[in-house]
Amino acid sequence: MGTLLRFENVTRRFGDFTAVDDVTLDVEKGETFSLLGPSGCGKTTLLRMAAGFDRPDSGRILLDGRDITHLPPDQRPVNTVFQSYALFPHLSVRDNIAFGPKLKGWSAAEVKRETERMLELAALDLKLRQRLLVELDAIHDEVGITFLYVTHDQGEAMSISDRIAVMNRGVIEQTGKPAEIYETPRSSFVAAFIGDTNFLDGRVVESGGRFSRCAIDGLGEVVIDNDRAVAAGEVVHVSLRPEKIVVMREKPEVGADANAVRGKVEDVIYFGSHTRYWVRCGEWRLCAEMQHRRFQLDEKAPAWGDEVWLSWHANDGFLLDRYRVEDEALLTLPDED
Amino acid sequence: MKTEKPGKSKGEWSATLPSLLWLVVFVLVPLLVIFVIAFRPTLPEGGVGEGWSLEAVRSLADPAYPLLLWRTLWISALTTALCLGLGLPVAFCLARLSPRWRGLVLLLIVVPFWTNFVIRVFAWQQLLHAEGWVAKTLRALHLLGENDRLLGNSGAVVVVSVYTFLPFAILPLFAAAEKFDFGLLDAARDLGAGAFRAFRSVFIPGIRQGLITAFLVVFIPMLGSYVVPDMVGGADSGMIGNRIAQRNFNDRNLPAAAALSGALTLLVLGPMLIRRKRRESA
Repeated sequence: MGTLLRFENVTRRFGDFTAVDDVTLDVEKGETFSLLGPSGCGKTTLLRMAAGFDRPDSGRILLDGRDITHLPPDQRPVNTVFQSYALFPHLSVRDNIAFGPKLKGWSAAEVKRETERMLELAALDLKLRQRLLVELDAIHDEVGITFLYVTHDQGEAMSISDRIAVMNRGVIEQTGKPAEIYETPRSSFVAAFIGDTNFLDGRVVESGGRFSRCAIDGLGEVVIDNDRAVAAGEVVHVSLRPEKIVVMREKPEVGADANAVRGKVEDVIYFGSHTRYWVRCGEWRLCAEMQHRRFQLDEKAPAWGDEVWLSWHANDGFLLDRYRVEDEALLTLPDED
Repeated sequence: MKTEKPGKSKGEWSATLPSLLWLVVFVLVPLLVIFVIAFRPTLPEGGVGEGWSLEAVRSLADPAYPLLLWRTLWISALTTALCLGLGLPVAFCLARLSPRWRGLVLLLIVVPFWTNFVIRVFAWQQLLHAEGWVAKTLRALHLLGENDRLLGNSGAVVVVSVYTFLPFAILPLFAAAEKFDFGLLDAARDLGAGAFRAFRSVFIPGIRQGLITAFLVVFIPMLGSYVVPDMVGGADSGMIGNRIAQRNFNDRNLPAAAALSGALTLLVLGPMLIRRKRRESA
């Protein structure tokens, strides 16, 4: 399809604060691309620069290969849907709809006809179109335009996007399809911001071809997948999603490529479709999630204080490229007893 | 269920009574006194006589008055237009400033109020004086002829009036601009409006109420203005206010002064009442 919108080494500062820090990003033609991150991460600043409401201090913005960095908003073929809807309060619904077409130089008859048509459309299936997202998705399917979407809601981003860029402190931590972002997070920020996870850190004791063995202080030796090359003696950080961990009452039979550790249930939270367990394993407290495939009252589910075994396959942990301690604060934890 | 009859409840009456009393004692009664005096005869030694007379009202037919009214109207209109024209960009920028800078600039706008108004007009007399530095500089630059004056004409009246009323225009404009959602300007630009078009068709209608208030607080006092034309104006730049003062203080013809005042009041109130009636019926 090719690139439609390109941010090239874009930096934007507000006083001492760097909102966007040397960002390079390509949005493909026809895709729904989301900028995802916490407030202040720079996602809205990027969007405003794409629309022309703000200008980068350095770098370029290209639309279809054309440099639009210094083009005012009214001269860009880019349109923004405002979070607050930005309806003009001094105009009627009709005149709000007609505002853009009039400026585009449509004839009065054309404006009137199209405004009427839009109003009829809006009235037709009001219930179906209550949510803006559904509406946007319909527009996307219908006309195939490219969407650049800004959100701090990871569920929203995952469900509507073809690709996502996860932003933090003015930089893009990772760009990829929703599943890539979720399953193969490159940094502790991405792993913790999208969904929940466990961070394990240890030292590689034996590096193999596909799998390596890694000693984790206070937990024991575990086997990890070599998502990237590791050398013996290297300190590594692994992200392990709660739903990848299986909780069992008896010790499971595991092969050389899987792990099983013993622990004691410290906290249980029932969510209906699944239950979350926080399990004390040595010096670690691991979060595990179990889906309820059967009616839960038929099972004898583990409860507070129960002895359990946690197991996971080496593939289920993902080796991070970058780890920062402060990202642990993004994880949801029950109160310590 | 007990329902209140439409109309004023006791609570409403007691809440509005103080301001109502104030308005009656200090606005309505003096106004009535003026209207009554306008229909009294004039005493030769000055003062107001007993009985009724249409003499003062008839004096409104003075052939000099239409020109006086016209001059009052255009000086007031020009001053108001300049105050709004200068106040709008100031209010716009002020609303976009960070709260810290905004407070500082607002302070600078109200600082002149700390000095007595008459003293500030005296200062303008010095500034615009034929031997003042402004006139000297303009003359040196050949922007002012040897015999041209900055002081003593309608131009001086407009300049000093704009100076006097500008803060009164800026404050209501700023109050409206502060509440304006500037995202709407982005939306207008996004839909293809140029910067000026967005300002004109989104910002201006958005602060309409502020514009109306600014218009009223400048235009109406300007119609009754007399200190500024008296101090910096000349013989050919007197306004209705000066004539009322002259009738009052020099001629001691209180009925004529009252008739002129009353006419001016009706001139101001008339359009406002019509506007209000129209809005109520709409």
